[in-house]
Amino acid sequence: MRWSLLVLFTLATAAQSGVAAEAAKQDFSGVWFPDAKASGRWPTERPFTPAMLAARAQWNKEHTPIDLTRDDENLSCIPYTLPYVMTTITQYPFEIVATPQRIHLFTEVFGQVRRIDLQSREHGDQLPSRMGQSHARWEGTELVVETTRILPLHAGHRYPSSPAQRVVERFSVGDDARSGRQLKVEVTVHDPPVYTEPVVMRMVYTAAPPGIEVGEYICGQDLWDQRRDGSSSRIPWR
Amino acid sequence: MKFAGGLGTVAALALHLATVQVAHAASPAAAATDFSGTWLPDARRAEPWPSSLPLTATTRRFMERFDAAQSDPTTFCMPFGTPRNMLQTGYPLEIVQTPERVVMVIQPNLANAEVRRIPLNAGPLPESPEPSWFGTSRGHWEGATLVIETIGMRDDAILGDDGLPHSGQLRVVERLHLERDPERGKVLVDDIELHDPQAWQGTLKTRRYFSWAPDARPRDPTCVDALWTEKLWSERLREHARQAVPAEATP
Repeated sequence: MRWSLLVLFTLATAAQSGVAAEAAKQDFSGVWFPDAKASGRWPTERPFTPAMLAARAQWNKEHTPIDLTRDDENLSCIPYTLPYVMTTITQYPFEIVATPQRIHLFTEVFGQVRRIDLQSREHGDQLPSRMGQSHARWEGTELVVETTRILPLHAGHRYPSSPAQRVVERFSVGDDARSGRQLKVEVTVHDPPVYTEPVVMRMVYTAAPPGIEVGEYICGQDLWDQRRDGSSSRIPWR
Repeated sequence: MKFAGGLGTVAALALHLATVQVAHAASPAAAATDFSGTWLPDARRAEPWPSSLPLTATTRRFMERFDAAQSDPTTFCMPFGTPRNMLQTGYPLEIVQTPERVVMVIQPNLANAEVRRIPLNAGPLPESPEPSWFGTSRGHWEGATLVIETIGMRDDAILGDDGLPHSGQLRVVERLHLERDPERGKVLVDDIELHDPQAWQGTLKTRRYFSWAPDARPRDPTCVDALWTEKLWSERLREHARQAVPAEATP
């Protein structure tokens, strides 16, 4: 009898903790716009290490003057890299599609895809990439996403980074009286060769009204259109 | 709904989750096939087009003069577009599936990832959607088969390296199902029908096979990096050339 009660109690506790764990998992699905007013910014004075300051000074000496109408990589369709893809504030939304195995984040600008694994902890032998390799775990109602293997950016870049960069993001959702449903992401950049201390930014995104979808964004489309319109032989139907 | 916190919210969320699970189990979507994951196109089993396609005269003329260096959008880092992104055999296909929608991601070595969004059971297609590279799609289940209809593709995209064009009237119907192959394991089969009276008579049909590849990971595209480097270098070289020539020698 005592054993039966113990088994029942154990089963009930396990079931309860399972329910609580499920309930703690927030649903981030939907289309989100960056909230320019509520979001944080990169610090004006970033805590660069002495070595990085020296590297940046050297880079500037070798490459100035910089003409941003020509030398800006984003203007030239080079897409964003994490964490900038989360911390940049544009008019473009992103969409989160969540499944039990993985969270996909589809950005409109540059049509980029982030993949956040919820189950696998395997890193494998993977090359660094703009979005890096992300794994997540739940801490209460927060999803903690840790990303490594992010493609490093050179010393002269607006946001230089090293191969050691590690980005930790804490995702949570809630309601706001002003803007309705909100997604909050606290972004912490750990990069000891670049920064003397972690850089923290708190980003806020608001839920898009119903019916809004992430659009098709093809960087360089205007160049192709000009080329195409210059010759009717390129379109047989006109 | 405000997050009030406490046991009430937990219980409400648990009840909601349980309800959602029951609802999914009872809905037709629960009986649907799970295509989620990453798939590699099987180039060896890609069905070639018949040797004599029922092409219109306009299409034939275009193909005879086709020069990929000038007229293939991908030469300029533009997307494959739909359905070329399903006909290609070089890059993985990733499928994200929820009861409400299917998202297909093809990440070729071009400027952008190609993301096809396919709402399920979302009613009829719009009359004349804004032309786009990936078109406007609707999907529905016919038993274990996912049927996708797509319209609204740009008329300057092509279907393959040979320059086979399609017009803005193109309508694509795909039927996706899973097969079990003793050698290859799980195989995704896409039966593709192409209707475009401006470009060919009747219906073009082909079948594409995709092998289950859970470890396949898309790589960062380098197409634009290459173009950017080329642009930067050509401008730098022109600048150096200008500086090297005295002003009075310039005509």
